[in-house]
Amino acid sequence: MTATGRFQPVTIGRKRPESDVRSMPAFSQKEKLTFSRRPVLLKFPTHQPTAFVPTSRMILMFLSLFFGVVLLAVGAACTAQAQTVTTPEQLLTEFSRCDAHFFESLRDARLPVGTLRLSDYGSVKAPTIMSPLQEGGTYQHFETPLIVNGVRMVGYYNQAETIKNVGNFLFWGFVADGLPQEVAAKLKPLIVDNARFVSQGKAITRAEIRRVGDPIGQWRTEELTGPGVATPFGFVDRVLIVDTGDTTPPLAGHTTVFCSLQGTVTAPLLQVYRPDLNAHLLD
Amino acid sequence: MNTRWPALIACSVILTGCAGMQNPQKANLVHCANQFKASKAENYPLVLQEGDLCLQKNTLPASLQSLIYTVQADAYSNLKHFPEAVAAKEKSMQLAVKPDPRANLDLSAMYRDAGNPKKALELVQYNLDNGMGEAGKGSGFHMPTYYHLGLALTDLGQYREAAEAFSTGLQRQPDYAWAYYERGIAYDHLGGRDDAKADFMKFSQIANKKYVLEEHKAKLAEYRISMP
Repeated sequence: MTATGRFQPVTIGRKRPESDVRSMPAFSQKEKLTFSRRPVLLKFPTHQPTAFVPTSRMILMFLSLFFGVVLLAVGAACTAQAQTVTTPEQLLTEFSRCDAHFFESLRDARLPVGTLRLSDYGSVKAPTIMSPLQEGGTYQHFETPLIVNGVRMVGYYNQAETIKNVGNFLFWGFVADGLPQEVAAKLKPLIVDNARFVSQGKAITRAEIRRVGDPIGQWRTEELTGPGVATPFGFVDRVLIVDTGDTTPPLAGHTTVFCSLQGTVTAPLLQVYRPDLNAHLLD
Repeated sequence: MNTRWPALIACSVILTGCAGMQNPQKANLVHCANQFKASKAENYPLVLQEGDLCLQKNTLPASLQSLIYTVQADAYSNLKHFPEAVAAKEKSMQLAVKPDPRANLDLSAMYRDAGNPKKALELVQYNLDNGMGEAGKGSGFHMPTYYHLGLALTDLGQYREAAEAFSTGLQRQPDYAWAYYERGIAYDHLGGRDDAKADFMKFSQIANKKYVLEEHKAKLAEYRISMP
């Protein structure tokens, strides 16, 4: 990763400038939806008022229930079909969400042989590495590169660390051949919310921030942490970043396609976003 | 709370001194001094009675009125008269010379007690939105803010967010036993029994037994944990 990268962790022992917690726009609570039930007018023969009416209603209810169940089953089948990843491009789309979807999709994914080696982590799967906390154990080199829209992904990286007085840092994602701008251009059509995937210096990023206490799935896209500024205490930055790899192996000479969580990253948050990890690994 | 008691003691001394004077106007201040004494003695009905007389019979400066209402609010709260506690606390805050982030947190707790967690959450969020840390604007946020945030979220049924808030507070103050207990409650609601048990265990090891009530012990017992 570059030293100038906006969302890179600081070098241990070198303190980033601290920033004040700024005022943020208040989130709006989701309003409860209410449904008004309109009476359904049905005409029934008048000569059988008590016996016939309930029977026909029961038939209608049964039919409604039957079709409802059929619709649900079809919907569930379609959803299951949509969730099964069968191409590297679909996998990249899931990855680009920077949440649990990637690990959930790997559970049933059908990918080219010899690319990602996967392991089970609880109820999900993830590319096998030795340990996200152990230097030298954070990388998996693919025997056969995974080709995603023409980009050669040659490995997977997964790192977690705590920097005292700064916060927790997690990076995970693919290591690619090619220059960052070229890689980003090829991947952009596959990236979720790609209108916000924009150049930031030499890197291409899609950034968002969340304040502790906001709904767990809600991210703010305004008033983001500025370049080179540590995430303020009580906030978490989430960034999808395509950047030049570090100057040391295994990232040297490559481009990284990473997701990151930085700042006040807690176990309850990791349980939602990184089901492949022991949520308490940074406690 | 920490800054309030020295102020109360100082006011008590001043008012006791004034009340001892022969001037009948000054003598009315005896009710104010009695309110503080009753508060110290935890005689809450007397706190309310003397506080009312103090306010009726004297023309006090706004800052002192604010203090009297704060003591009234505390008494109402202890008597479990929560709407009255909220009203007294709000009067106290209106009369205060400058905004006090801690007072917002106290008011948040009173709104929770009064069954209005939404308002309780808004008050903590107001502090967060405006950078009002416990020690003033720009001083940063610590356990009290995140603890009250977590409690409001718990009452709203947002257990994941509550657990996150308690975890954040614990990064600032890892020895605050009640944050472990409350996070345990949040995990319990989320079905995370292992996490809940770990938190209840930690709580049982570091909590001051004086404040652990039967309801807390009953929760620990569900996890086969007893206070040492």
